[in-house]
This record gives sequence, C-alpha cells and structure tokens, in this order.
Amino acid sequence: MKTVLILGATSGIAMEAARMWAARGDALHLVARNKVRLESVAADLRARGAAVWTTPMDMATADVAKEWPRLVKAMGSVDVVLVAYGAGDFGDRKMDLEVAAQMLQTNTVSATQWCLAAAETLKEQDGGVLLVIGSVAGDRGRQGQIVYNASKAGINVAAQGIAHWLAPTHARCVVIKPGWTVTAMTSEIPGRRGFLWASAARVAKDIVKAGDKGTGPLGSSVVYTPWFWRFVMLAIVNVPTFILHKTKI
Amino acid sequence: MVKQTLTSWGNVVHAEHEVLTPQWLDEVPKMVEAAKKPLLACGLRRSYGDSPLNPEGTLLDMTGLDRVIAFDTETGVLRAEAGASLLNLIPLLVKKGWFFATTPGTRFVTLGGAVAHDIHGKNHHSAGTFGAHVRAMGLVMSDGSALELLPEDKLFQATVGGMGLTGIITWVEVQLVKIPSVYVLVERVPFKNLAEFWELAETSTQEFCGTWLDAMSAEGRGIFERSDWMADRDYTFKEPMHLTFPFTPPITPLNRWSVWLHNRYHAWRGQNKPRVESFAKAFYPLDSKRYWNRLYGRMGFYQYQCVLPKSTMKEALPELLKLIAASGQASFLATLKTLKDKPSPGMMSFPMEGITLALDFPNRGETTMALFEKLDAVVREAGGRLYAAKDGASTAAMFRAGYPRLEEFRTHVDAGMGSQFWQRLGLVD
Repeated sequence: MKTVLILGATSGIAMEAARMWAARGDALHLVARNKVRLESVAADLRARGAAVWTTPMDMATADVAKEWPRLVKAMGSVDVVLVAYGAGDFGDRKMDLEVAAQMLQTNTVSATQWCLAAAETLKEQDGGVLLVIGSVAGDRGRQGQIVYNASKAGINVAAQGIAHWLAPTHARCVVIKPGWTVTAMTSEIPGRRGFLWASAARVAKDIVKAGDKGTGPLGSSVVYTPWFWRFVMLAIVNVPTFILHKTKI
Repeated sequence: MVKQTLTSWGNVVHAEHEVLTPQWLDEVPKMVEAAKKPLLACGLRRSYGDSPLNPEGTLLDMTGLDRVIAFDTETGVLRAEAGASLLNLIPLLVKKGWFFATTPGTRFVTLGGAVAHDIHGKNHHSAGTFGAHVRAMGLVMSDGSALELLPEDKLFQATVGGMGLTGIITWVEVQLVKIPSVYVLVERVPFKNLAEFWELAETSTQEFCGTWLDAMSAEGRGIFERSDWMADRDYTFKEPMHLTFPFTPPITPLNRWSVWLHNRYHAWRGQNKPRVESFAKAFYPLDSKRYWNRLYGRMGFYQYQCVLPKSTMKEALPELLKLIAASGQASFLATLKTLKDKPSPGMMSFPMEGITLALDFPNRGETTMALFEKLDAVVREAGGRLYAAKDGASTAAMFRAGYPRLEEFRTHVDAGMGSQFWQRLGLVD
C-alpha cells in the first residue's frame, strides 16, 4: 500500500490516476484549489475504498517553503508525489503580458518550487517517486502557444534535472509528457477524436506505471504518453526552421 | 461549447450539435442558464432513436459528471452523479456484494439515462423498473434552478421515464440489492413454436428470463434463457474480454442469408446444459462486441420495441411475427420478455403486464416505414405501446394511444427542454 500525494487533484488526468491508485487500496493525499470540487473528488475515491485526506490550497501562489513541511508532517512518509496542476491557455490571449506572467508562475515557477521541495524529501527518505506532468508542448517553441510551450519547457527540464540529481539515491523522478489529451483544458477544441487524442485514463495508466517503476522506458526519466509522441516530437523538434515557419502549428 | 456531429445507437440520424461538457456539479446551473434553448442532457447515447438528440438547441454531455457521491455499504444506498455509467459503477458494487435491483441489456448506460427511460431488465417480473428503486434525484431546470426530487413529488414521477424533458438530472440516489454471488447459473432451453414459449414463460421460476427469437420464422422458434444467482458468495469479478468493431462498413454485412446463418448458429448453441457464467457475460452479452451497431453499415438501423398487454398478447404476438417474417426484412436481434404487473413511479413508464418484443431492422427507408406502420396498427389494436428509448419512426397518435398519462406528463415538461424525438412527434408546445 502506497501513500500518494497529488498536487492538483481536480485535474482530469490526476482524477483518473487517483481512481487507479484508489482501486489498489493506496492512501491518497489530495491538494487542489477549489474546496468543493476537491471534496467531491475525495468522496468518489472514498466510495472506491481509499483512505483520503484533503488540503485545499492554491499551489500557484502558496509559500512552498512553509506548506511543504506541513504536508509532509501530515503524511509521515510519501511514496509517490504527482505534480498535476497547471494552467493551459489555448485561447487568443497568448500575447497578453499579464497572462504570460501568471502562466509562468503557475506552470514553471511554483511547480519547480514544489518539485525541489519534494525532491529534497525523497532524497532524505532515500525512496519514493516524483512524477511531474510536463508536456510535449515544451519540446520546441512554436507560435501556436508561445507561453504555454515555454512554461512546459521549463518544468520539463527542471524535472529532468531533478531526476539526474536523485539518480545516486533510491528516489526517482519521472517527467510525464502527455500529447493531446481529452480533459477540461482542451474542452474548447473541436474534433477531439481519433488516434492522436488520448483519454485522460490512458495517460493516467502510464503515470501509475511510472510511479511503480520509477523510470520511463529503458530507464529513461521521460515518459511520452501515449508512447508514439516521442517520435512525433522527434520529427517536430528536428524539422528545419524554414519548413516549420511555413506552418501554423 | 463545441460543435459535434452526433448520432444515436441506430446510426440513422446524424445531426450537428452544440455540445457542452460540464465536469462539475456546481458548473451546471450557470451553464444551463446561459445555454441556447431548447436543452437536453445526454449520457452514453445508447438509445436507438432520436430521444438523446437535440440539434435545434444545446446538448449537455453529462458523462463528465461520473463521480460517486456516497456509497453506504451497510444499507446499500448509492448516490452518484447522473453521468456515472453502470459499467464503471458495477465493479465497485459487486466488490461489496451489492448490485442494481435491475439493469438493462448493456452496462453502457448512465444513471440519468436509466431514469430518463425508466429502463427495465430481464428480472422485471420480480424487480420492476429502475425508477422503482430511486430514492431521490437532483434536477436542474432550464432556468438554472436546482431541485431535489423525492418519489412523492409529481415532478419526480414525470422525470422517471420522462426522456430528459423535465430538466437536467444531475445526481441519482438508488437502493441497491444484496447479491449472493457474481456468478449465475444459466439455462438455455430451445422452443419450436409460441405454444412452447408460453409454457416456458409461465413455468420458469428463475429471476432472470430473456428470449432470443428467430424472427425469420413465423411460428416463433427461439431460445429461452433463464438464470439465477449462484449462492457461493464468490465476488471475484473479472471483466470479460471484448472486441470492438472499429469502423462502419459502407455496405452492411447483414442480410437475410447472414442472418439465417446466425440464427442457425444460435439454435445449435441452444442445446447446452445449464452452465455457470459471470453476470457480465450472461446479462450483457453484446457488451463484449463493442460498437456492434456499426455492423448495420452507413444506413443504420431501427429498433422496434412494443409491449402487448396480457389480455391480447396471445393473439397479437403471432400476428406481429407473421408480418415480420413475411416482410423479408431480416432482424438480426429479436427478443421477447414477459413483463409483470410491477407499477413504476414514472408517468411515461413503458412496461405493462404482458409481453415485450424488440427487433432490429436495417434502415431500408420506405419499406421499413411501411412495415412499422403495419406493426403499429397491430400494437395499437391490441392496446399496447412503443418504447421511446428505441423509437425512431413513430407518431404522436401512436404515443397518445399507448400512454394515457401523456397529457399529464406534458404539464411537467420544462419549456426550455427539448429533443428531436419530442419535435418529431410534434408534441412541443
């Protein structure tokens, strides 16, 4: 039985992962901003037989140095930490300065702080897995979602660095890079069907697996989910600039 | 809000919809108030006809509201969001030895859908309909107001079997039943004609009884399937394997010859001894062939389901079977179920004491409609009625004749709700 901490427990992917952990009888510690929604997620998981604790908190603006020790104290020890909260902006405010600052604070600055704090604890424990939901979007800067891509690139690399830092210990860190996923974040995009769109449950399955293994495929610290995005992004990253610039992706 | 082309299980009507997908209960009232009317909630869209479609207004896809709110494992009371499916709820229930009092032939239905069509199952004669076990439900009206309905409320009675026209069902609380096992003992008894069928129907004591009928024969050949729960307290449940039909073939492989072959296979299969099966296999055989509806090809298919009252069923049923066999319009799936006198709280509830016949017909346009008109006439003459969850072709007159409480129901229909079914019947105020 594992103790799992989820930062961002009301996110679509996190909720599916939580259900999978609950089905195994793991103990869940859930953190999210919206108290009412957090409670309804907790009620669902308790009905599935899991022991659940909740802490409402805005992780993007919290004082991590103060809050992290509190969480650890409440849990005792932790086996899996899932950083799942974040902001997506697929709208037309992508050049807005205020939105940019907020997104970077939410997705990169605060997320990195939580990851660093968690990493220290896992190192002390000499065990446990930190799972960080980054995104394929961070693999290359493109005009479609300039700031979102940048924010995800930041957390992708931070988590990758932490994975390296934890390598000498028994603790681990894995960066999860989902491709297009059907969640509330993408709900305004039409036509979310077909091969390229994964369900939240599909991504969650890979997350739970990474939590068990502590690594991605072949010992890597990056999991593309579903797997084929590794190759899609390989192509996108290596496409010559003059060709990319002709597209609108 | 996204634009999506949606269809129902029959694949006949493909219409572009404006779809909203609420993820949280607290989102619903504001979403509903702001949305373009008329509104309709839908679940997994397993209804065959146009009852889950609403191209004229907005459709609320409720499948994001799938959480359990509370599950008391001592008393067997379950409260969950209306978009929760039987598929995802049942494994949680059986783990603790509980089950729904009654379920339909597929687990791909939501709680809201089960209430909206007041579904019935193979054990109607003992358990009645789904609505009879609902203790309370939440309803959001088209003006955004949220209500809690109890069985004594008229609006509750209008909502059970109300096809979603009274408002958006947001959560449902049901009383479950304790089960002695997740396995059932299934017996399949072949019969050569209706006389043998009536005999089996009258003398079988099992809780779950269903019939597969060879609709190509006029004398009523088929297989009577009857089962009971085992008493071995074995609750280890494993989801049976399934395959998915990945696409809709341009021409359907189903025709009178392939159907004839299929019927011969079924008849042969009927010679088995009683066997122990998991409930998932016995109750929901088609769930293991996902998207089997695609086999009907691009034209889609209609399902015709009627109930004939006890007083006239023995005369009317052979008439229906004769008409169907003579039409040459092969029905891949034909089932018969006896329904007993089990009153439902729903005003527009479909079951009545008698027999219900359900058949699939490939959509052949005019010829299919002509057959349905003939069948309607027999059903109407016999004092029976059609099932809105299946119907895609009938008329207001037919529904008026079959549902004496239709006018009473209409007084509870929310003016801001609507569905293509309701519009087709011309019952919009």
